[in-house]
Amino acid sequence: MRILLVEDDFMLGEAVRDGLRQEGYVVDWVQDGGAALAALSTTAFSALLLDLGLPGSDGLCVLRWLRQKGHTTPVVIVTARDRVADRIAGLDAGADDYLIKPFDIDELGARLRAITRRVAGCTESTLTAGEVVLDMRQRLVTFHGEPTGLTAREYAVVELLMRRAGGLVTRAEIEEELYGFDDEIASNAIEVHIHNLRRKLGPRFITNLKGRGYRVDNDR
Amino acid sequence: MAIAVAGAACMVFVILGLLVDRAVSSSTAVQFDEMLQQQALLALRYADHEYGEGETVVPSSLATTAVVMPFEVVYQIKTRANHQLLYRSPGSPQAPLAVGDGPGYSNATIDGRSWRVYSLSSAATPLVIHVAEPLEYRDALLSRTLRAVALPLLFALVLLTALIAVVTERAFRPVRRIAADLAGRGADDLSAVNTAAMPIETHALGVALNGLLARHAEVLARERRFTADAAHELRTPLAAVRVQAQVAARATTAGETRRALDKLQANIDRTTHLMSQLLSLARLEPGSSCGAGQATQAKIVVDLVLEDLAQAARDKQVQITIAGCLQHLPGSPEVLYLLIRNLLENSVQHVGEGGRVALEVSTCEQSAVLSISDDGPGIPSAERSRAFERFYRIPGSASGGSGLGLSIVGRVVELLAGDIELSAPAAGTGLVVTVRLPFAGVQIRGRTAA
Repeated sequence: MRILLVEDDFMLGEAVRDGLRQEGYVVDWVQDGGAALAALSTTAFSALLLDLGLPGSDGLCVLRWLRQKGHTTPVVIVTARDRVADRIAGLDAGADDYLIKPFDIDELGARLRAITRRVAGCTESTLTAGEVVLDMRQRLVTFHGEPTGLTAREYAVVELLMRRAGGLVTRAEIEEELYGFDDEIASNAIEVHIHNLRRKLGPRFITNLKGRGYRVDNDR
Repeated sequence: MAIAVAGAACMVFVILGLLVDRAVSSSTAVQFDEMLQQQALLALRYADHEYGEGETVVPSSLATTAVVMPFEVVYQIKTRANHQLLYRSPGSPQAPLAVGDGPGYSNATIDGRSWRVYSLSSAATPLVIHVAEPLEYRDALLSRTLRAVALPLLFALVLLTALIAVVTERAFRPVRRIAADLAGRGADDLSAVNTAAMPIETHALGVALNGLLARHAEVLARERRFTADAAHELRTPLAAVRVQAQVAARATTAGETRRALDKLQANIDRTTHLMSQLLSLARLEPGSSCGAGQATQAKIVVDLVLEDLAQAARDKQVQITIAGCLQHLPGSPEVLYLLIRNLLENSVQHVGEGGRVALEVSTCEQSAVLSISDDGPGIPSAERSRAFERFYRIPGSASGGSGLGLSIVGRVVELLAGDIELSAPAAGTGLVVTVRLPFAGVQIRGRTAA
């Protein structure tokens, strides 16, 4: 999952980025409203973590702009503004959740998962495809009931494919999901991940549609 | 209030009454006495005349003297030699009115009646006359006079009291309205009271009250803003500390743990610095002692600051140069330390690796000028006016400062009645801060500044 973090405080931005990376998220971090708008207009993010007290344009302006443009990207406001009126204003402006500083990074992870699930239209926290079961709450994939020991990026690929089970997921979409703006992408990185997943989850779990992308079948 | 005024008016009335009574009674007593004397002289002249014609006094002939007497006045005529009573006017008591031969006044009480008596002895004949007037007559006359004075006075008193009651009621109506307004207010309602309808006598009070309310509101608002800002600004570094601690706890490799803990420490240092900056700012609130009127050796303060910034400067290989005359500066050591430290720290923070920061102090008779310059990125001219706001950070700067440094500097300059200017150096980038501190009223050992 690729997250856009908008936080002007250098140390908090760094900490949240590091924390979310530990959980396997791909995090792009910008420090002001302008950069956030630029990033949002070029890239699809699974979720947006938005600080309100930004230099330049206020976080709420960014949020309103996003909603005006018709983007449905889930937004979690992360702010020091703790008054009820602020929370209402944030939710009214189109935020999906509101987290007050200081917060627990596990809590932030849980909320991100909850709202992305909600957006994906599934309220269940587990996805099943044949013998592969993915538990989004624990970020765990089992195969024949056994833990599989996936890396964070492998997990992200499986989650993306299973979330859109039965449909085609292009290589570019997977790349976008896995890598931030600053990450170097090796040309065969996706193939390597797919290869490893086939090894760990059985050769027939992922179907390779040559030149178009990949698919996990719905019902096997 | 009206009751007190009416009471005071009553008291004034009573005192006035007593004074009038005393004045009238003493002056009427003198007048009555003079009249009595006149009547004695007149009656005696008649008696002498009668006596002279017949060598003896015919009592009935003496009765003619009664014609000249007012009816209340009685008299007795006797001989000087043997005190033989020759005539007694009608209404006169039987007993002698006086014993002496006069001339002079005396008082007598006969059969329960009090008399004022004037005795006179004739020079031509051996006759003595006692003229007497009942005191009750005098008293009655006096009280009649006093009543005549008192009635209009009493009427005036009632009128005056009513007038006072009405006037005070009207005059204090706005005051009562303000009192009701103030009594009904919440603790944080410090808006001005309505002084529009107040009479001149209480208007000044209303204006003064509004001035106090306004000052109080300003202080309260500032304190509130400060507390809110402080709480708000502490949330972000605390969030960073918390998340970074969790990142460290979840790290899977030793290297990752090390890096997270280093960041955690930097975070805690930053939070600590923010706290101490907030405290500095709180101590510099208006009304705090800023050492106005004091002077401090600049060298002592500058040395302290350099010592405290040495590590930060070494870390970035920043060179700090000090020049000029490090003599006296106006202000206490505490505020001057805050001023110089925050100015230099600000520059050290913003210049790049190996940057240069310079402090130059120059003093003249009227003021001291501190000039701090660096070769950092500077502050865009459009942003300079905002640079003194609390928690203001230049957009895009990653210095991680508290955003309070220049606020503290600005507050110190304000407390020392100086002025401050931000500008760009003549060549290249950077920031030049010029602070001018007046010596006005500052006592320096050895000399007194203009």
